[in-house]
Amino acid sequence: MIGLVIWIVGPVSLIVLALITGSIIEHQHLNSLREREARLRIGVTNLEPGDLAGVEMRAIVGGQAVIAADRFKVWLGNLVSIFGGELKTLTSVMARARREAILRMLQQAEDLGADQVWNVRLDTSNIGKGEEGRGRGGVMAEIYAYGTAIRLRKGN
Amino acid sequence: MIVVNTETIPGMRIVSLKGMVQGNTIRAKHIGRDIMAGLKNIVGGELKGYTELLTESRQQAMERMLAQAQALGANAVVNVRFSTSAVAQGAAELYAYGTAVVAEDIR
Repeated sequence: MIGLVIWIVGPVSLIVLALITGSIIEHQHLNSLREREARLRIGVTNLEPGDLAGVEMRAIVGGQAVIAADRFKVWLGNLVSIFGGELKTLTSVMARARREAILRMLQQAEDLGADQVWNVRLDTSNIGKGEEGRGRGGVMAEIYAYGTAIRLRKGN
Repeated sequence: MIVVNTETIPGMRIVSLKGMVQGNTIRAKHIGRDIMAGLKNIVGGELKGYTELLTESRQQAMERMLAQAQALGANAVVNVRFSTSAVAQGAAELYAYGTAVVAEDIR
C-alpha cells in the first residue's frame, strides 16, 4: 500500500515541482529577453551584404544557448504525442533558446562596435538525446546563431 | 585574420582563392555538468555549463580552421559555416569550415 502511494506520489510531485519552477524560470527568461531586446540598437538580416560602401570593420560573431525543457513540459508533450498535434509547451522552449542565441550574437556585435549583422545563420542540434531517443537526457537543444558584424565609417 | 560568413568581404576585394579549410573537435562533458543537467531537466532553464563547453569547443574548431588558413598563406576566411552533431551520448562534434582567400582593401 505504502509502496503504491510512493510509486504514484513520487512522479506526480516531481511533475508539479517542474510545473512551478518551469513557469517561474520561463517567466523570468521572457522578461529578461524583452528587456535586453529593447535595449539593442543594431540592424540584423539573413541577407548577403553585397557591395557595401565605407566598411570599417567586419568580423564573425556568434551566440549560443542550451536550454532544457522542464519535466512538466516534456510530460505534457508526451501526452500530446499520443493524439498528435502541436507540442506548444516545447515550441516555446525552442523559441526562447533561439531568441537567447540571437540576442547573445547581437550583444557580441555591439561589444565590437558594429552597427549591423548580415547573413545570419542558425544551427540547431539536439544534444540531450539519450538511448532510444529519449530517456534521461530529456528535451535539450543547443542553438547557435552566427553572422557577419559590420561597422560603417562615420559620415557615410 | 579576417573571418566572415558572407561570400564576399564587405569593403575588400578577394584577390586569390586558397581552397577550403576546416576544423573539428569532439568534446565530452564531465560528470559534474551531467548531474547539473539532470537537475535542469526537471526544473527547466538554461544549462550554462553546456553553453560554456560548446562555446569553447566551437572556438577550438574555428582556431584549427584558422591555423589551416594561415598555413595556406591566406589573410581571410570567407563563407564560414558551422555544424554540430551529437556523435555519442554525452559528446558533441563541432565542425567549422570555410574558404581561405587572400583579400585586399578597396582603395
